[in-house]
Amino acid sequence: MVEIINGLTTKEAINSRLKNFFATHGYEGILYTSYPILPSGVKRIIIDALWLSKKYGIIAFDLIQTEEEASNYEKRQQEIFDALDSKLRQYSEFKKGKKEFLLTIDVISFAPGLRVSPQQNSEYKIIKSEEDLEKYINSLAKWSNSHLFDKVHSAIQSMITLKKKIEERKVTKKFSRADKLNNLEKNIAVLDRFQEKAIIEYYGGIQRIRGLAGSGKTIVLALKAAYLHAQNTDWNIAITFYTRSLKQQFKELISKFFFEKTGEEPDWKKLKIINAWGSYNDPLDERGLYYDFCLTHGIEFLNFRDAKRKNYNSPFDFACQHAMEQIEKNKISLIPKYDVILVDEAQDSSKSYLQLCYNFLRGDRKNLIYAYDELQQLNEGSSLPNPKEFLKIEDFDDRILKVCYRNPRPILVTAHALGFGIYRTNNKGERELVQFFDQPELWNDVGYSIESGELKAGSEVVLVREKNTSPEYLENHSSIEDLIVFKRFDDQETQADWIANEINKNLHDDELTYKDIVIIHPNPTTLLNDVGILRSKLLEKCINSHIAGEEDADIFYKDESIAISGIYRAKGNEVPMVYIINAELTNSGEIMERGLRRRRNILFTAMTRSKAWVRVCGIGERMEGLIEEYNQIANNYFKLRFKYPSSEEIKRLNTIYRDIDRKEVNTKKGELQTLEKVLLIAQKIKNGEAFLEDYPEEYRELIKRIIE
Amino acid sequence: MTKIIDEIHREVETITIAFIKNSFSLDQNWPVRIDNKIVIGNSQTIAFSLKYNSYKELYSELIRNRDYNLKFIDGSLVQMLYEFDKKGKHIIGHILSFYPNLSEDYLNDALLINEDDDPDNQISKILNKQIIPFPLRFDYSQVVREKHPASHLTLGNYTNCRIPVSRPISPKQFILFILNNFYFNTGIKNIDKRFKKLIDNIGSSELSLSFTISDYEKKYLHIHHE
Repeated sequence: MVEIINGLTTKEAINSRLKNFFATHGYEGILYTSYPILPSGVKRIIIDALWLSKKYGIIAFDLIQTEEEASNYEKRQQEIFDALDSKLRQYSEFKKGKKEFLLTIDVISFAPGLRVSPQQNSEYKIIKSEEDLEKYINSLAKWSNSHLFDKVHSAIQSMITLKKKIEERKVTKKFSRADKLNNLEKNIAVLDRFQEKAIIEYYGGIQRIRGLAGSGKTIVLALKAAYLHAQNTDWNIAITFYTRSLKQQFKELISKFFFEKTGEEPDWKKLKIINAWGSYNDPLDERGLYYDFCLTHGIEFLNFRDAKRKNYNSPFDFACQHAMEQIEKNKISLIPKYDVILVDEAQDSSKSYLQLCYNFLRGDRKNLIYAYDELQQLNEGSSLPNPKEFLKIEDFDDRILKVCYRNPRPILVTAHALGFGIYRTNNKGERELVQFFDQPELWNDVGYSIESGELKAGSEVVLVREKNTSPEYLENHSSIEDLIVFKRFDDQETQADWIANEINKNLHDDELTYKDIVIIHPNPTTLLNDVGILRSKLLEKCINSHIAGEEDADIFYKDESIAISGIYRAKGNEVPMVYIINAELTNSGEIMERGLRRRRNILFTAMTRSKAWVRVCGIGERMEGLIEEYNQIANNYFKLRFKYPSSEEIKRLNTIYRDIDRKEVNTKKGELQTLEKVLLIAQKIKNGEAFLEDYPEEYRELIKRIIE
Repeated sequence: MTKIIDEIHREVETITIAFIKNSFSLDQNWPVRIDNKIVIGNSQTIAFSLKYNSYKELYSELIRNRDYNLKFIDGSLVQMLYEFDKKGKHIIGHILSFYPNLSEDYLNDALLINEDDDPDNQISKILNKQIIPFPLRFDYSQVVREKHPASHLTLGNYTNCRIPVSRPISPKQFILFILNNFYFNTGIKNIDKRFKKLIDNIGSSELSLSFTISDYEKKYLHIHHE
């Protein structure tokens, strides 16, 4: 079957005839419409359609709707051919020896509605019906180099160029970790069909792109922005992000892709890469979107500190809501500025930010495209509500990126299992989840399939991740025992000793570089206290370490120094070797079991930073509990086997393990101490050390009851 | 008799270890000895090249190149550079600089890492809104230029600010000066345990360097270090 990928087209009628032809004729390969865009001399051309086939190679289509178009089709075919030919000849992969070109490129014009027969030229084919097209294709010679299909596909996507030139690690030992990583990184970069469609396909209006971390949301959004900019040079486009380090990444991806497609630099005045929040530090024409919105409409702007003071838990949501309220209250008329806004990390920026973006868009059909991590907070399921609700729209385009290209499957499944507490036993010795979301369809969306049972309350269900959503090459390089290690220690000292030793081995025997390794601590408040010992142990081995960029988010990794990170800074980073220290903290709540949910989320986030190996280290009995859970996961062959909870149970879990803030912790601690004292009083009276009458009358009844 | 170059070198090393052990540095570079100098591992004398650039540019360039001995938990930087005579017996120059982090972004980040923080931790103590951070530098040069005090303190990078200092400063003296005056008020009761350990680990300087202040300099307000 031919995979059809629909670009933005102006030739709708003829396009659908071509698509229909390919959908019904049993060919294989990929058909793009209005794609790719290629530089051609000083201008750029958008190819009407291109079929990439294993059997025939590349066939590009020039689609003719009018007689006028038919008059100079030879010239257009030539342009298309030249553009494709010169683009693809740039890659040494497609050449043999000095001259031989291994690809076959054909260009034909397709003009099914045309009445007049233009002059037929044997070299420049014009085909007037589906029957003729079929005959033509069947008459073509077979492409003898079909093994190059993936590489050609990657070249057409421009992925060959976009792939970061990663410096190969120096390898002296076959199968050392560095050798394995080099091989892992050599994999051909090809966008999968979900990603490719999400980039190219867009019908205007709201488009939502969902996926787990590592599913390629950022690259999809970047290329989509570049593609829209290439097609509509006069549009004002903004792409916004929340984590500062993303800016450079966006800029690089967009420039490279745009250059591939057009031979030019993007016009950064038209396509802006801006922070979602922004501040007065921003350059004039790169103001953060929320900041710009406030200035444009003359309303009060809240910076992070102010907003945090007013709403501790979701400051940005509060700030945007505050902006929209001012607009409404003072009946300020909106001043739209953009034709398209693309939002990355929407899970961090909240729904009121999306509303604000929506109101900053021109036209009736607001072109808002946003990507978010489906399970950033495990319990919430999709962390944002349906846009139909909060944007009051009738319809929207929904895309799911199901494949996780970052984490090896066993690591990802373990992170999910521990995050949800799938195999956890509570202090009464019963199996009990930590958190859950009641959206059965989401399991499939994030790449799990049901092996047995049903996603219904009370049903014993088994969920598995398969290689179509977690590619095998990510895990095949090492045994499971090496991919994941859980380790318990008696104290900080022995934990630090072990980690320092292992890191020393990583750097020397395994040939890893400093930048391949990160140490993550789950609790930002005690991080500085806890990592001191480890840092001095590393120092004894002449290994420098730094605490990763609180003040300069862009410089996370350093040459010749191991990065130690708190959980918030680690977000968005991916590293081959991850050490989690003091993981026992993620197996207990702040007070009683309150806050356990959030701590499990932290463990989930920390584990999913790993591209290859993870070492979960911790101290004492709580760590033992975590190891016990991991053993269960491994014994179940990395499947999630559990009783699907009822909505009452989920509600109960959410109460017991709910998040709790510092103030609440302190109040609770105080209350618990008071309770203990009351018991002490009762004990005293019981022992005859004090008398009931020693206490105020109004409490005597209560004390009496406690004694009883 | 141990040479002064060895003693100064040891002081910088002791400070570096104390900062790592007690987690008061986010990042650090080991001091190295090149000829008759003690410098930073990968020093490029950026501070000198960018002398006339804006402070912000200078600061971010130092960060990018890791041109510092210590990076404090609030992102402030410290450089300790010394030069000695050929025998390593006399200090002929030093640059001891403190570059605070002015970035507003950092304030946001500091709160971010302490998301569920109690307000009493050290970082929030440093982040006090009424404070205006400023760079400061103790310079010493044996080769005295006209009216430039041999040992002097420059505040806020003011061009003509050279407050005379009675003699050269040792690394420990410098660091304790910074910590005590700009970070933690040792006078308060609940002094942070880690901070106390840091100060203990650094220890006091046993060096007594000769006075260099001139009679002319003594006439005006100056810093006397006994």
